[in-house]
Amino acid sequence: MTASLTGRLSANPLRQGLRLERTPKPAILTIFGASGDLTVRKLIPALYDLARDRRLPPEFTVVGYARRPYSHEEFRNMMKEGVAKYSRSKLGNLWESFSKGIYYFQGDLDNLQNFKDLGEFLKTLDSERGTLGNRAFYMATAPSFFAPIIENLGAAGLAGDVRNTRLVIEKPFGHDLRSAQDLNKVVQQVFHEKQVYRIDHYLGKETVQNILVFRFANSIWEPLWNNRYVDHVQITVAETVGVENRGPYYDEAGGALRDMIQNHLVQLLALTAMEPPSAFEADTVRDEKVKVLRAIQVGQGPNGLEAVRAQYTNGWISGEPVPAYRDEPRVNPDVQTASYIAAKFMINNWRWNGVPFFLRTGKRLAKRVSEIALQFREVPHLLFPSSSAGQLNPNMLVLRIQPDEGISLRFEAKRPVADIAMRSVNMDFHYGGTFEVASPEAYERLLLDFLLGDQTLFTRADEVEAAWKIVTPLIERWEIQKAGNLNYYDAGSWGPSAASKLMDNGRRWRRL
Amino acid sequence: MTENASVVAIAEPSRVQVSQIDKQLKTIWSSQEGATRASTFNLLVYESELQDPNSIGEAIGAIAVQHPCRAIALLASTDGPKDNLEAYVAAYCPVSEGGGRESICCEYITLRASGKALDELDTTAAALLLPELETFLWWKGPLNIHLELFTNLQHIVDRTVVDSSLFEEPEKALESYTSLALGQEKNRSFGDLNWSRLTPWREETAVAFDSESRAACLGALDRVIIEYGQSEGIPLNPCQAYLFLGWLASRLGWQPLSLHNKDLTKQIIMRDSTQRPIQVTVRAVAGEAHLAGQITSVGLRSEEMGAACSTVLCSSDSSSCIRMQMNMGEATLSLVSDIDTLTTEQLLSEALRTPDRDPIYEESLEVIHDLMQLK
Ligand SMILES: NC(=O)c1ccc[n+]([C@@H]2O[C@H](COP(=O)([O-])OP(=O)(O)OC[C@H]3O[C@@H](n4cnc5c(N)ncnc54)[C@H](OP(=O)(O)O)[C@@H]3O)[C@@H](O)[C@H]2O)c1
Repeated sequence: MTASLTGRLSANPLRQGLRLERTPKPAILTIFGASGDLTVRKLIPALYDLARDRRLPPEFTVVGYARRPYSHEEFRNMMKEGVAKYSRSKLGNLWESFSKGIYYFQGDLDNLQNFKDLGEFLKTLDSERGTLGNRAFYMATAPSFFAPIIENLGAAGLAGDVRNTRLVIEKPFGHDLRSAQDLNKVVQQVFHEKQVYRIDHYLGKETVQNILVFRFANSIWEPLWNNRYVDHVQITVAETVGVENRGPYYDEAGGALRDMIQNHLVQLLALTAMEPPSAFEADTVRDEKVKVLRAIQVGQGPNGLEAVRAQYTNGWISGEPVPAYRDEPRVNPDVQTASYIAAKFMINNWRWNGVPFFLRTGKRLAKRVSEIALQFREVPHLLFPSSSAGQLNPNMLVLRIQPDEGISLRFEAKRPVADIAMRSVNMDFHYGGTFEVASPEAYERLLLDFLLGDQTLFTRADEVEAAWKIVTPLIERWEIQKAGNLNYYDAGSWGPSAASKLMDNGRRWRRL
Repeated sequence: MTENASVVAIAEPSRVQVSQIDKQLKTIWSSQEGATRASTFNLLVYESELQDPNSIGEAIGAIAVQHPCRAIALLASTDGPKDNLEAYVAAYCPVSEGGGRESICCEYITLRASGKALDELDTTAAALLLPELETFLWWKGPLNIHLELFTNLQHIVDRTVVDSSLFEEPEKALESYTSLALGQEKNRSFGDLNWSRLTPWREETAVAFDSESRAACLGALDRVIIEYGQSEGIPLNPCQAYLFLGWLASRLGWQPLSLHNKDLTKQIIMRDSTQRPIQVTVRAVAGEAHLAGQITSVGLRSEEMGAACSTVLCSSDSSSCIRMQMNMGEATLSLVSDIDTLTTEQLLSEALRTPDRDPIYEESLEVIHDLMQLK
């Protein structure tokens, strides 16, 4: 029997027709940085939910790795609290058997001997738990540890091969193009690309995957999806929360540009603009994403790059006063970090030449909402005299991602009066109203795909580099040359007024 | 139905002439600013008035939250004048999380009939279906009464969902049901809520044989014991146990050879493709009322491979968990997993998810059909 991590397309005839025709192979998942926030809040609750849905093999085993001197039992109890608080399903009878598969290993991420000992420990677990030498490693640590962990895994002989070992890398992957390339080099010295899963948890959201289904499972949009019919595209990811306790981390990570634009918004942009892949498979999908990413550039206006950055001052949200960014806990009072970015991007290819894509994201904005809006061109010839028709509104197709997932289409209709008077009508479709099922958390989906060996929703090496390349001019202008003013906006507003200057030709940001 | 928290009535049920149903619905919609009529399917629900009179309404409320549809309740009335037909219409909108009313709503027509008018209700219902949408029938009751209406409705529906836990004279009903379901045209399908209740048992059984070493056991199994709950005052209903057996046998290529009934126990001999005999026991065990008709344990063994293959699945005292004990090489692995006790609405919503035929279910029915011939 050869150990292999590929999900088994079952030799087990009882699996036919069940929700999960493939189950992950028995394996040990080692989480580095397991005493941290991500593990207890997201990873273990997601794994528990998967186990409860009978999507994990009974042999599945987790080893938490960090420096604190926990016993297995102490670690299990911490995880139990996390599950009780954050998992979708209630803590039930399953916990007893599930928690028997959770272990803690005390070690330092910089210490090679600790990794060698970990290897021995994993071997012992193999025989106890029937995990057949299959290994998965998850780096849930500060990014500065990614390279040392990978090097130590390699040096300790734990990198295995494509059949039995995989690695998850949390975000952020690098802090600019150079560092991403350097990290990719480290990764590739030890692991094969097919073993590597770079997480962008946005891609795990059902709603984001729906963009692809909407585009490629319906034939009516494709003919419109180009510069002949689309005037421009707006992608908004607005949050109402502030930087909260993450101040120092957020500053160090470089604010909204690196935290949101480089990964999540650029991913949304790629999914909206990519060409249809020939199959829904990891490499065909990612090939198309890479192609479009390579064609994207920040807009260049007469005054340089067309992008605006800003930081929130104090204001009001939902009737509550909220502090300015610089008054948030643990934030340096004269820090230049941008909590808001708006920018115009152009795509240099046949489909999109001349169509601007406006992206904006910010914290402490008026509303929590994420959407992609395609505004169509006006009719070529206005048939109805504007006096009687009034102002014509262009057609708009909106893919709403959250909070109220759905699709809406705005078109003009005649008002029921004698004159030709028109009025815009919104036709709304809510996924929630139509297929209401509790959707799995993004991490659940990603962990399952990872354990099954499906890389489609993970970022490939060339993809992450292409995404960094897109934002490099902005990093250079704002962080290296320190040029470009930092604007300010009131918390609870829709961002700085400078952002509206990005919009030309009578375009305006959508009021959401 | 209006007290159901998840929906609000935009119009309370009002009695109308059958010919005025569409007009009345138009009136309701035009009085509603901003309510959108959206429809994903037509849903016919049959229920005899002998059953709990509120339960259709509640179930439809729950369905309306998930799927905008035109729902038509077919009520078999037992009192009132003979050969009588009455109609009521109403519309309901799901309430969104924030408490506001959603704009996409569900239409609700009730046809209450007796005698001949009931048997012929399919033509009335046919005229009320929204065009070009799939039509589902939820037959909420036993099969032996109003079988004529059931059969007539088959001409207008794409998918029929029954609940075999409600079957009276279960074995006879299973026989007519399997004949009907298996004899259908390609574009019609059948579903059974009792089959959906089996999903956790099927999944759990599959888990037991996922590992490569244990997969080998499947070919060696020769002893199966399926127990289901029985409770005083509730008629015996082995349908779920049969469905499980039908599933297991069809997956493993077993054919039934003989069936003997003794008190509460059925002894069945099956044979696999190599003519190897498999001995199956299906028996009722006394338990609490909520477990009546539900599988309570499944034991799978192989004389040939001994302990290495033995697997026992049982629901503990509550029906909300399955305990699995299996041998893996030297070790015995014991696993307790939770199962959600699904409400009828959740089961129904699952059964309505697709109009497609489920080959695994149909192959299970084929085994049951053959088995019922051996009675
Ligand atoms: N938290 C979230 O919700 C979230 C969301 C998305 C992405 N992420 C990403 O996930 C990663 C982890 O986030 P996090 O919030 O869980 O981080 P965290 O709370 O800082 O946890 C990291 C853990 O690493 C351990 N650690 C630090 N130095 C170590 C060393 N030298 N040797 C061994 N262990 C060491 C620490 O435990 P000991 O002190 O016990 O060693 C600490 O608990 C980051 O890349 C972050 O960007 C987090």
